[in-house]
Amino acid sequence: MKIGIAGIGGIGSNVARHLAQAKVSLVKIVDFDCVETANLNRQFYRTDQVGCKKTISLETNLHAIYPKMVIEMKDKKITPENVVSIFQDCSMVVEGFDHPHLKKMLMEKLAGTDKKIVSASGIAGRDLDTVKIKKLANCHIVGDFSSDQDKHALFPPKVALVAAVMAGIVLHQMEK
Amino acid sequence: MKIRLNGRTIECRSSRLTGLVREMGLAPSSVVAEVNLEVVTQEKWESTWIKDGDEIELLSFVGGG
Repeated sequence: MKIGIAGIGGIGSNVARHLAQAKVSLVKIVDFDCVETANLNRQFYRTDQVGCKKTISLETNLHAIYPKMVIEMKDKKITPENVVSIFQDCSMVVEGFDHPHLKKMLMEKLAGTDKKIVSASGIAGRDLDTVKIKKLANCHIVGDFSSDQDKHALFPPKVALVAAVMAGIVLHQMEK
Repeated sequence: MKIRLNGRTIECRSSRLTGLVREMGLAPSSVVAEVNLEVVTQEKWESTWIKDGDEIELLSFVGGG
């Protein structure tokens, strides 16, 4: 079973880390971005990877945990035109985009498929007890559903918490 | 007519999904709509008529990932 990860920032990189620790054997990670210093407080990257591609950096970090993990990488911007083909060979897709319109796009484009989607909405702010799980059609959505990162500061433990819950849903679905 | 919206029974004035999203004051660009357990994509909102007893979820995504 191949798990796709759309965007490997705070959510995607941490979900991937949990999957490596759980010895998930096959993932596809997709992002076009490079590691920045400002990412290091909450994303699964190191200081010496600043300026490097997130895909290659994450592959290195995941292999340091679980060397047998097969990691397919796409250094690509995900668009409405390519999202279906990028993830067509994945049974499950983890959504880790920054922008709400991309979250909506991924969910609408993959809604009519047999794929399971695990998405995030509301990962900012310091309150940890507001994190919930909602189920919509073939999608689980995790977060507090209100804290936009443009209006609330990101609190790294909350990002990690949402990512851990999302990874838990992926692992649970894989067992079904 | 009465519908269930996000788990609550409400009196709905809109006849179509586009109108309901507007009635709720939501930004269409970040909303995903589910009607009776199926996701209805935005291009179909205008042609989706709301019926009495429909179960509708409107999820407004917020940024952060």
